Amino acid sequence: MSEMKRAHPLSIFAGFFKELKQLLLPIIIGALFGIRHDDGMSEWFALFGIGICLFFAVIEWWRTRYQVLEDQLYVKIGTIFMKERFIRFERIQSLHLSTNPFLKLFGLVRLEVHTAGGEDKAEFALPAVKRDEALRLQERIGGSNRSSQEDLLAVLDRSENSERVYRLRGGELVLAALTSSGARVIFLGLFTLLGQIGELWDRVSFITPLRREFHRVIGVPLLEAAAGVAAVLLIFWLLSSAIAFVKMYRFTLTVREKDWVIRRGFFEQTEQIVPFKRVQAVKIRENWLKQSFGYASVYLDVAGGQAGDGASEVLLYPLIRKERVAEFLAAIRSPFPWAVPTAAVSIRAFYWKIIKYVVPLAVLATILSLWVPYGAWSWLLVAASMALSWLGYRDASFAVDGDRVALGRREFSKETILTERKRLQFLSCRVSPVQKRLKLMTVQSGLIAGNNGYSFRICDLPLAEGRRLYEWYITAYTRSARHELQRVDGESSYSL
Amino acid sequence: MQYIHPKAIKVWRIHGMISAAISFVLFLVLMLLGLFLFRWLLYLAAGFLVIGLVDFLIFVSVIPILRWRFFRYRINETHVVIRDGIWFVKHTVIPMARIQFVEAEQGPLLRAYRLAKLKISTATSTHHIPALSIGQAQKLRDRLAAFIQASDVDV
Repeated sequence: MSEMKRAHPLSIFAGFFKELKQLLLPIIIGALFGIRHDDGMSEWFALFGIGICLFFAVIEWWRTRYQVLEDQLYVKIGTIFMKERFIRFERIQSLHLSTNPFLKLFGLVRLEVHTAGGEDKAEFALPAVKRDEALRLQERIGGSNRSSQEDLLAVLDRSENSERVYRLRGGELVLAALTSSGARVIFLGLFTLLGQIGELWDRVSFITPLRREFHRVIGVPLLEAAAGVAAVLLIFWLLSSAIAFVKMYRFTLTVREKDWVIRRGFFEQTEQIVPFKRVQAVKIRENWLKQSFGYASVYLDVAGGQAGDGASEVLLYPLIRKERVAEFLAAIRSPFPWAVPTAAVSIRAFYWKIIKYVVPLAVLATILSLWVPYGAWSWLLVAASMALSWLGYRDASFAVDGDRVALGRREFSKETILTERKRLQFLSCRVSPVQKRLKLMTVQSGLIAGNNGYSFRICDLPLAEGRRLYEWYITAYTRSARHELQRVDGESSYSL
Repeated sequence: MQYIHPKAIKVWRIHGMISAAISFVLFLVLMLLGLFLFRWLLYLAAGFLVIGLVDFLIFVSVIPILRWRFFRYRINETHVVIRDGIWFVKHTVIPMARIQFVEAEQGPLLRAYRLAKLKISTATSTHHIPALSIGQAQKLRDRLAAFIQASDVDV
């Protein structure tokens, strides 16, 4: 039995900086997009805000206390409303330690306790504690089976026999960062461009007299416009690559007896422990950049509270050659081995996608090219949707093997979901009138990730294959599956 | 596969009537405003008239019957199957072991007809059985609850 303890006083600053960091993004965005206050009062407001933050940081530090009892953690928290909590050790799913250069200077770490219930937030967090204390706590709670004196956040160089360490090396890291963005960049870039065009319109005063020569005003020499677009895209790409670089810096994956340890981060080093038994699905994702270079990245859906930015998805490994994925998953003892979705695809799915996506866009493009100068460029969008339809129709597929299943699908990135029957929360088959005619079917299912879950769909599987998947899913639960299946496409008799 | 309670048709009809009535009221208001204030409001009024008529013709007369006829469900020890949709046919399988909670719910209309709606939730989705008699809804709810307890939960 020990007395109630507080975190290290430097918690005040750690907590304070964390709040400031959250304010930083709005400030930067504000600065970038030109929100300015010229009333002379804004400085006072800012100071006042900082003062309040500091005040609350002090209060929070003072009122956050904890005590380790026999088999539970007793916690008192709350700045205004006092909360008392008993957190039983067996309910604690992960104890998450992280550090940054500032904390490191004082030999401190940030500690978060995650439990099964609750929100995405940590159940209990100490912004700064002495590392020895954190290690003692971790040992006491015993959720993880690490050796006691192992240095948590140092990069593991001495790997034991049972442990295997995968490290992202220099070149790989750069490649992973450069190929991390994919379609997002293009969207961001295009939206920014649209914003700029909007701004151009705001200064209508000097455009209006030239309205008649609209053509000439917008018609900056074509080459220049193209270069502008390319430059914006390039900037966004580099920016997002830089962010990815910082996040994945010193990425190591340690494979242990029952769990994976993922460490990464440049400024803020984080450590994540993922027990195999909580993994719901392994997802192999290839965005268009990675796919064209023959690479993929591996993500996980993990049930329960997760350390991190509330993201329900865990990055298991950022860069792996596509042909080595099978080998890799076997080597890291993935609970779900690699399987290639092999179900037959149907060209009819491609036709249906053309009707759904390409034709409306083509109509739009026709109108644009008739009425708007340079509107003919919108045909590029039509071409892109055509390409996406082509890729998507071939990627909608699956393979089953016993209880295991591999589901292939594509929204923008190609994704292969490796999981097993009992992890799929439900399964829906949907057939629209057109799909019925084309003998296609859309399958929807759901997976748990974090404390919530998400549902996803595989669009336009051939009807027969979709039925096979449905049958596979339901046969575990009923003997009369065949009877059921008769009705999938609405062939049932409607007698009362 | 089982049908839901036939009174559901009546409830849906009343729903259709209510939304049609709202459209008609909006139509009248907009028409008056259009006559005395802005002429362009008349177009809006015409829109609402059309919506109201469509509601009245289709959502009161045809759709409720079809909806009832095409909605089927089955509950056994291991799973729930729901078949829904008139044109867009959707079959859903919910394994008992994946169900997290079941709720019987009543709105004022359903209560007037002594019906209840059954909501079946998994970790990632919620599925509805729209109208059952109160007794049956409660019975199903309790049965489901019993099944859920019996089946293994190993997430």
